[in-house]
Amino acid sequence: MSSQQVDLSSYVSKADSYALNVDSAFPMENLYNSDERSELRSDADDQLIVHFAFTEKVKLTGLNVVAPRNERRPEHIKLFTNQVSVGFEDIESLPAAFEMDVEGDDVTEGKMIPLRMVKFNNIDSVTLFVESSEGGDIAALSSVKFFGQAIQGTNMSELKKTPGA
Amino acid sequence: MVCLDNSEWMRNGDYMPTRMEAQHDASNLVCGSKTQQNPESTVGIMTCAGAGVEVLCSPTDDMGRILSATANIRVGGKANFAAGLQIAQLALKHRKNKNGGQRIVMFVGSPVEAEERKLTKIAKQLKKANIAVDIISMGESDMNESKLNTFIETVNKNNNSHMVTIPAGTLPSDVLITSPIVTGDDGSGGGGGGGGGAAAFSEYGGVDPNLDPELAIALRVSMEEARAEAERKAANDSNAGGESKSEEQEAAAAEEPSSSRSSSSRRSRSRRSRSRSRSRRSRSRSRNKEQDAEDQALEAAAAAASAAGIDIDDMDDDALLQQALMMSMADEGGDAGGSTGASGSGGSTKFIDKDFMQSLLSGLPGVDMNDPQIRAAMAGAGDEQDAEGDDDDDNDGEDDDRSSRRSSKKRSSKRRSSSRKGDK
Repeated sequence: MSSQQVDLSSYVSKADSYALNVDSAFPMENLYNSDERSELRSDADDQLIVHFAFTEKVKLTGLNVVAPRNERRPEHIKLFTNQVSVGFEDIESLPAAFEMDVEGDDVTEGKMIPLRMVKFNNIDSVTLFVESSEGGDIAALSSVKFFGQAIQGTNMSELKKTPGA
Repeated sequence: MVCLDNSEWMRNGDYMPTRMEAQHDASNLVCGSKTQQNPESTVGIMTCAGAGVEVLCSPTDDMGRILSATANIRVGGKANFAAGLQIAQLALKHRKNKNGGQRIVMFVGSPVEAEERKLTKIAKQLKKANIAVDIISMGESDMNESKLNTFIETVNKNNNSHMVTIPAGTLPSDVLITSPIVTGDDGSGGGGGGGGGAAAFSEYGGVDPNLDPELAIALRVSMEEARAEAERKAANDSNAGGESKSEEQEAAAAEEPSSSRSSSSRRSRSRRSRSRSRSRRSRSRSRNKEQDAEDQALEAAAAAASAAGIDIDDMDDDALLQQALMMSMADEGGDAGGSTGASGSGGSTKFIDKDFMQSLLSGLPGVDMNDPQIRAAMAGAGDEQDAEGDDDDDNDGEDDDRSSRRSSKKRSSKRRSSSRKGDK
């Protein structure tokens, strides 16, 4: 069992992940490519819900958010764990596992936002809620990455034949 | 999620046969086409009036459940448009299969009471939650139009929400089958529930736009114009009484996409005669009576004539008919029966002379010249031939109109099925 923090992007199940209030010209796929200029943007107002489902149970230790550094930058974000179907009407009343006010430097490439591991133990989905943007009617994200480790099930490749059995 | 209006307003009879029944028909069409468009698509049914907003059937792909839920709806109470939308949103949120888009199809047949501000707020919520809303407005459109338009504009995202206003007197399913609500946003896979492939390219009058783009566009434009006209006419006539209704029906008949020439003319004739019968009910009734009387009278006349020494074989049908009519009238004259019957049987030529007849009849005891039956008979005997001629002329004229407006391709077999539906 490795204890180092790895980028969990490969464990994100794109088919089960979704975003709400998305401008269809700036879809969720834009989060996954490496180009910082391609954004996921909100549509009706400056709130965004982005739901990430993992293919395996994971432990999260860190978060990296990249966003444009202008009025579209998220101002306040929250994280929720293991929510199956969450919408704007009920997300405000749910207890957040993590919340923070975003400062300018927090949304740059490579900046790790630490997460409390006890709250992000054994989870299979994370919902990121952008409550408001810095200013204006649009919030945008360029990339969201989670760090931590997958909780490994039985790894068949490690099974060894017992000699002489 | 299909949200039906089952308020008391749906008892209104401005759609055939009632708003409620028409709504059932339309919702069955919508549900059928939606479930067939994709095997994963599910449809739920709810009502927004009665005791309260009620979900009758959670989203399912089982058409049987949907139909039985629809069939059990009772009319009553006032519709709550806003609450209906919010509960539909909840029902959609807790659907089983999260793949695919969410959509609310809302039937509105009663005045929307919610304020515009509240509606806009709900619209924004729905838009944020990626829910598309289609509105089918049936009646009360004057009051609702501005509210609903604002609502649809707000909720619309990439042209995924539509509003269709059904003009009074038309079949909602006929209008819907060509609308984006049934055909889908991409314009394909439509009409699965309705007429199988019948609705393919129905937006273009049944012509594949790829094969003949100009014709297809022309047909589409002409159909849209016809519908707009019917709508306008319906709005103009909504204040008038029964007379206007028949006009609406004619407008509807004219607006309906025609099938083959023969079937369209037959249909228009039957529609016409139906609408005429409203405005000229008294006349047609008396004519029916005459028809029966004629049959009986013919036989009686034959007997009487032979008794009076007249050779029936020498007389043609018309003469026989006139004679019979006269005898039957004389019978109505009560005790005068026997004598006039005898004198009348000889004077078949004089019967044509109205003045003579009038003086003759008025001279008879027990005959009231103001009796409507006698009047009708008098008028009918002379006019019948002419009237029938008129009818035929009218129909021909209408058919010519149609044929000039619509080209021959219009009457493809695809249309035929929709006309059959309309006749049901």
